[in-house]
Amino acid sequence: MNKFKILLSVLLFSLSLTSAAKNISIAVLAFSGEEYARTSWQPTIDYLNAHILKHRFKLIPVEPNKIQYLEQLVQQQKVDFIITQPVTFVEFQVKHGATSILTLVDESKSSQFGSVIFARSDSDIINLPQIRDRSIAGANPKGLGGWLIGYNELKQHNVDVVNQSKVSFLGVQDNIVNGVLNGSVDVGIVRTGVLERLSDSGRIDLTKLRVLNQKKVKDFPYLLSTALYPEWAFVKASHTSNLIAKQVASTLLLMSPGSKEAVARGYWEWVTPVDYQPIHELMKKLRVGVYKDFGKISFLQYVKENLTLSAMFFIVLIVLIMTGLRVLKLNNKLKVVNYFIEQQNNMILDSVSEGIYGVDLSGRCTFINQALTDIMGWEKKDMLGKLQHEILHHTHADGTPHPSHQCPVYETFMDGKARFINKDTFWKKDGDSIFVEYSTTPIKDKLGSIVGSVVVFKDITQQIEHQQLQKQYEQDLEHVGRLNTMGEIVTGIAHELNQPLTVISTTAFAGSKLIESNQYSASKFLAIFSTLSKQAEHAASVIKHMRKMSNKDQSDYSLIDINVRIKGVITLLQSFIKDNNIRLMLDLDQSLPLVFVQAVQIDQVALNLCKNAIDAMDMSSSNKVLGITTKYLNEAIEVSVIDTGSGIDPSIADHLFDPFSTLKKNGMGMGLSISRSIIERHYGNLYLEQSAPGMTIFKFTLPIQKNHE
Amino acid sequence: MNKATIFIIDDDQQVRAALSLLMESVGWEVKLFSTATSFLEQFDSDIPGCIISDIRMPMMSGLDLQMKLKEYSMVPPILMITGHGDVAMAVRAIQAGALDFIEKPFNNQHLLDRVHKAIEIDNGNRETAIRVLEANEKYNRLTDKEKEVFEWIIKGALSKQIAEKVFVTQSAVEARRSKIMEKMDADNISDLMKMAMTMNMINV
Repeated sequence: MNKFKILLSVLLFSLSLTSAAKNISIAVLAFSGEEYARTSWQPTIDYLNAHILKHRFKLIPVEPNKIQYLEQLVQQQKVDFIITQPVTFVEFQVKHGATSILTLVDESKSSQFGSVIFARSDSDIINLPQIRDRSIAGANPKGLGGWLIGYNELKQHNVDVVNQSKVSFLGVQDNIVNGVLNGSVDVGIVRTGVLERLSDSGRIDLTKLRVLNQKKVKDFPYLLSTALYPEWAFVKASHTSNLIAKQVASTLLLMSPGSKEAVARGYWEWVTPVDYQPIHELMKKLRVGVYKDFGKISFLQYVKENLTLSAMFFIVLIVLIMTGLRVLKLNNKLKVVNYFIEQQNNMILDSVSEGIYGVDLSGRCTFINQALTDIMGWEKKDMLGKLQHEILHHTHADGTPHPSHQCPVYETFMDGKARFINKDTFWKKDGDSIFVEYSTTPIKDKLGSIVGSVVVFKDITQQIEHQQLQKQYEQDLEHVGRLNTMGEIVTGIAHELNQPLTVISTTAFAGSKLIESNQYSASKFLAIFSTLSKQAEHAASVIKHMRKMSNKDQSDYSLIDINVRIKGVITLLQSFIKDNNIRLMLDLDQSLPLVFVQAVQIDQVALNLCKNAIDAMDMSSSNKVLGITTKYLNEAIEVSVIDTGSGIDPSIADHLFDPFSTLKKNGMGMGLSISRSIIERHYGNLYLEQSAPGMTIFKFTLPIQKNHE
Repeated sequence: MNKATIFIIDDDQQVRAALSLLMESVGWEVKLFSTATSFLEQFDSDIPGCIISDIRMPMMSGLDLQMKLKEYSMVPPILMITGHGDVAMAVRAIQAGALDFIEKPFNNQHLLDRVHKAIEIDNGNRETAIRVLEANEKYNRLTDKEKEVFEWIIKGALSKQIAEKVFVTQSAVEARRSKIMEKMDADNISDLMKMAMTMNMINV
């Protein structure tokens, strides 16, 4: 048991050694060189080591030009404390979160210091403003007493010397004093107490120097030209534990004032830290060190700190810039266009192919372009100031007068609405007329009230003629189609006509023979004449039908009974039906309404479908049936043509309605194509309902409502 | 002997009626048929006359009828009625033995003339047929030996030559010759020759 206790205590001891007993590094800023720093500060370090047994304190002198190295050491937690002048402390405070735990009291027993600004006593410089153009020396740019405090004082007196080439930094402060004394510089700035130290050691004669802007502060023992600032600080790095800091602070506070360790470095004692805010203020004012950019907006820093806001700001900025550029561009463009319009207005008007003219509210022409003259023959002298309607627009194409109150151009500025007229007649200077399409748009002044209208027109005479020609072609084609169908059935028609003619001629001849032979009776002749007139009428009806079918212009619409038309078509086909042994089956709805159609065209369609049906049964040997049905269906008349032929080859079924597609040896292939265009013109449909060997059905419909046009 | 009759076959009632009236106006007996089939059903080859048939008819055409009638030995001449453009069919009808074709509408006088001609031909045909029949009857009365002599006579052989050929005396040939003349009801050699021609025994 005893053995165990001993082992435990040894273990705990060794643990406490490894965990708590640390090397504590104390960096010291070595303004007067490493060697001086080491010798002057080592007694203070030794004092700490002597009083805090637990840790071992180590001194690291750092020259001011190696301050970045010191920062690295702090960041790497290799330095725990820093003894430094206030400016460096402030930098570490701001950058690295360091805190002061003690402030130094110097051998004059003051915890404050300032600068002395001085010249040679035989110099003409008596006050600060006179320094403006003179050479001046300091210790270093970041030195407080040796530069910054004095410089701040100069700035307060509107003496800004930083931008001048007459500033020199001489490092060790003794050099500044010597420089002034030997006349190499006009003015020197040194830390308070330097002059007294040099004078006490007999190295200089104070009477040979003149302190400028001298100030008296109670209990402050040295010559002074400026305000006073806190002394050096004992600084704790942020990572250093508060426990150690407390130990260090309390140990040093307990150090006797004026002890040999303190005197070795030329200070009196350590006291609780004073307020270093004045140093912050000074640095901000002079923009030194961490406050170099104070008062300027640090762009990168701002971005880093407000990333989201910055991103948004950038986006907004880019959008604004782009919009701005665009607006600028548009504006420029607008300016150019505006200029162009202003300068080249007439040229544009004259270069377009459409005729353009303006009209004021009284209907008088305000301007015309060259194209108007080219198209119409009217020149400026004919038109300007004249009533446009009376010149261009006075009469319709059919010769009837066109009253001006109906003129769309005038209506436009009456109601302020733009109009497009797709066909109208304009009259040329030579008395001819042309077809035009035109737009008429109101012209408004800046206030929005209508001051007239502008008319842009195009000569569409050729276009209209082309359309008419096109229509003519279509009609001709239909006619050709009809003739073609007629040609196919002409044999049948001749046969059909031959029957009544034969009966007539033979009956009449027989009649005359009867008279010759004196064997006639009244009743016999009654029968003869009845036959003659009936057959003549029959012949006439066939001829009438045939003539209608072959007539070229058949565009007249009339009210027809589709059943009557179908019977007429059957008449033309009778001989085919008979000769081919075809059984005709008609199922015609007797209660059908009349339809308003181009009758002959509809005949042509029916004839075509029936003829096709008959031809389709050419090869079949038996059971040939041609069926035609009519019925009323969905506000339309539906006609079906049915045959029991061989059906339509599927390979051609898709192209059945294409022009020049035919199943017949001698066919032109136009029949169904023309038929469909006729039916579609009547807003109906023509289609193949069914096709199979033994049963093929074509249907077409004719709407009741729409065909009344 | 039956009276000559005009057989009219046409599916068009109006045409049938007109043709009937025409034939009756010049005194012909007329029989009307609306189809070739109904005509065939009632056909009697003993009735002389003329057939006027439409060439285009449903069921049985004029050409078909013509073929069917070939089965009969005595058929009246056929006049085919054709329409416009039926030339090919008309030619076929003529080749098959039709007397003529008449195009509609008819040249009526020409039609009547053709009907007259047809009936003449039919009469002639029928007379010839009767003569052939009679000649054959008479010829069949001859004995075989007489028939042998008959053949030599119509070849123009003299009695002496015939006697040498059939190995009998010339007087025996003369006796057979007078027997032949008697049996064949012939007055002279010329009559005998005619009958031989009627019986198609001589190629003219």
